[in-house]
Amino acid sequence: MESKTQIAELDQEGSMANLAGKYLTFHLANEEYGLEILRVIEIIGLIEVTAIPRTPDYVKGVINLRGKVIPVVDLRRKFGLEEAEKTKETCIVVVDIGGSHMGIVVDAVSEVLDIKSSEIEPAPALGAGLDTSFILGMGKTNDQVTILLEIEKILNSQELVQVNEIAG
Amino acid sequence: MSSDIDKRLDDLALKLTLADEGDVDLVTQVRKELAAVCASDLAMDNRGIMKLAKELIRLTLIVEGDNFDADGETIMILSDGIGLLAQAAQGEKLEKPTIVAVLDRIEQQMAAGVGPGKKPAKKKTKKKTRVAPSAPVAAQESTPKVEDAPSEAAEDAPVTHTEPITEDNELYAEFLEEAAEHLQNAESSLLDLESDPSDSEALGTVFRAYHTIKGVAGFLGLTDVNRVTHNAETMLDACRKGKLTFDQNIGDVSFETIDAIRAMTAVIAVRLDGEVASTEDLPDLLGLIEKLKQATQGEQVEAKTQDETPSEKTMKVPKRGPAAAVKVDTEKLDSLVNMVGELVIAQTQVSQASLEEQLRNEKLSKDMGHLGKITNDIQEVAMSMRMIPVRDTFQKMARLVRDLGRKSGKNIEFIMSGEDTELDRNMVEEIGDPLVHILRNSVDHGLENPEQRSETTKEPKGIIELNAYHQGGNIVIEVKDDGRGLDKDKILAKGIERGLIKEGEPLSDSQIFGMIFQAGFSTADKITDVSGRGVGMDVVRQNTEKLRGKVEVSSEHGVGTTISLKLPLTLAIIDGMIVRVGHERYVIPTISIVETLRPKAEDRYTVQGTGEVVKVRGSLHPLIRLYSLFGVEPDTTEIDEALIVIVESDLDRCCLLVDELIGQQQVVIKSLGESLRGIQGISGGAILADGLVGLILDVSSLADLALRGGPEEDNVEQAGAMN
Repeated sequence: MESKTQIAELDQEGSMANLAGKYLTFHLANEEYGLEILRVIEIIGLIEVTAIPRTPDYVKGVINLRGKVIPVVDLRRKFGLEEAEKTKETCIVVVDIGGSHMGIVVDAVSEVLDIKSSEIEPAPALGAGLDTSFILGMGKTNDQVTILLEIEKILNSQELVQVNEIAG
Repeated sequence: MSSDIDKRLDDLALKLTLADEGDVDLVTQVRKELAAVCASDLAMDNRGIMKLAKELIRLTLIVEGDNFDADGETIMILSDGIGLLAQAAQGEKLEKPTIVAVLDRIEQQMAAGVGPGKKPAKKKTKKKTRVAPSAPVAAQESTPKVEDAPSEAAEDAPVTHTEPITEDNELYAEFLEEAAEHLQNAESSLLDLESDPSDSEALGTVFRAYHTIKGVAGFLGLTDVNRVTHNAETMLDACRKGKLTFDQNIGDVSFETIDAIRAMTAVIAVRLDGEVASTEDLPDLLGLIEKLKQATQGEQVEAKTQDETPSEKTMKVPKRGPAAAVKVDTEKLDSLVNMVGELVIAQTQVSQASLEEQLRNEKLSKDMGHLGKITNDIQEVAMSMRMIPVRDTFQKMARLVRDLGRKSGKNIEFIMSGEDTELDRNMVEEIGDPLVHILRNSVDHGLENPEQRSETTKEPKGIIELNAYHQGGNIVIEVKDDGRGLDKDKILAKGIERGLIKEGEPLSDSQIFGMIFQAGFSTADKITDVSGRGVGMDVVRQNTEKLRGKVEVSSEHGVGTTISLKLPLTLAIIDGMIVRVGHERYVIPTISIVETLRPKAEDRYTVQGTGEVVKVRGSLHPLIRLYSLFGVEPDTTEIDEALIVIVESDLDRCCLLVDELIGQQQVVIKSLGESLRGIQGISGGAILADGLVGLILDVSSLADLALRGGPEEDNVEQAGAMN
């Protein structure tokens, strides 16, 4: 009974409570980002990518993941960050987006963080120039701020096709 | 608890082997034990066991209800059944045929000894543990079963249930699958019987098919199916016993029965999907039962007026695989094929990396060779697993031709060959429609009436052949008739009338015959309900092209027509030419390549400075620089240092400028995934020998893109809206 009211209270507080859970964190430039662990299929080393013509620049191309062809997206380019040198730590995180797989290139993966709801803050407004719609929230753990990403919003299939049209 | 059950079952089996006839107390004990089995995990996890236990309960209930004695045979059956369950409870795997054998015996026993079945009420109580008793199927099951005594109850109209099935779905699904299989067997045996009415084996097959369907339908409370099959069975039984001779009349009714059962199973399929079915498509079951009874009395019945060929109606019935097959999820198959593809790549890479070592080490080189051979074999097998013979489709066609011939009053001999030729599963399903149209045309327009035929030197019996065979990496499916053939003059006249060609234009035979594939093109003088509207051949062409195949027609006026569909073996693999542009590699489908050559610089002409064409043996083709279209850094931009590949799509012939031809290879087509769908000029990806992805070019959309700047504006908008 008590727990029920608690949940109800938390729900009223906002959706932040639902965000608590395990996140895979990774680095892009000097920033740390987090992906819901349930979305992550696997992490592979950076392999050669076949470029796809006439797609937006952040679509790096496609790779062969054990017989399956999956698209790969460069998050640095997507976020407008500078190109980085390929290092040993550069890797591809394969995520599940609405049932289909997609790879995202990140500088380095760091760890799996368990983030409590009390440690999550809603995404701040950062001015008109910056789109924050794909940020679930900001996690604050161990003096560190992790930007929790809503991967569907970043890489929905619709966008890939739309941008493709503009290019055409 | 389950460990308990297996001991108790063992005990019971032992007691049963020692039991005397008429020991009703023991039967009651058996029933209680069976009820426990039904409620146990053992039965919940295994449909076969559940079914067996349920059937055994029915038998015990009948014995207990004093409907008949617990005679030796009953005790034997119970003993065997309990023995099987005991084995299962001990964790042994039961073979399906053994279960089915016992089920058959139960049914025979009940049919032999039982009067009008008192519906065992206890069965329902046992089911309460699973679903509320108000569920539709439970209600259905409580209606009096008639399968044991259909003749007594036969005066009521058969009931076709339409409400969704919510319980025992697996049993129903299994029934549908089995029924489809039996019906197919019965159909082909009936065709055999028609040509040789004395074929007692074929008669037996049909009889058994009806019998089995009847039994299961009764068990599931499908009174409609049960009633129809019961009457059909009675009729065939009379044939078996020599009281009746199998003639045209009985054949017609039997075919009609098969169609009716298919229609009823389609209704069940709809119910299984959780929807309320409509009985609109069902034939007149009462009438059919009446006909069956008349036929059993040896009376002539009116042949069914068929307003539609059966093949369309039966599409819903699950398809069966080849005999003695294991059903495997296609997804698993696909992933196996994927993995094997990767295995081959990995094997090649290891082999290449160790080449030097192999030269030094003879054993290693031998082992690597062995490994290579095995991987190739596995790949071949994996690929062939998706292939099924065209037999089923062909058999449907045999039925179609028979019905069409009967309807149009033409005497037709239908000859099939190559039914065992294998095609990709998807393809086998897709060739059905085109074949129906071609065969309809052949029967309706191709073959002459017997009277017309007798005026020529032809036999009165028209011949239609349906052949399948391999030809150079393709499969050819060919329909050949010895009818009147295509009338070139008539086609030409029609073509001119419709403005497809100009008068006096020189045309080859294949160009003329090609016109019959135009939508709305028909030379038929009258439109029948079978064909003549000019739709059919258009469908044939479209479907074949969808399968990346080609249609060819050859015909001689007065002698006959042959229409062949040339199809690739599978949709998953194409023969491709791998080309290189800069450091990117692309696959061009070989079927669209006309030729490749290195042009001279002076063969290139520009139009208004930018449009480029290349002159190849006197004709001009537009030049598409792949590198500029795809934004790739090429080796060279000079055409006399590069190569051109001349490709042909349905619209254009054009030249693709590439740096190098790497080679020809069969590649497995992979989709680029949902998010990269619909990229202009590219139809998919293929994994190349080094494990990297190469893009497969879609020649017609590529040409469209390069020469016309992509699809029209509103098309783009539409595509966007759809996303």
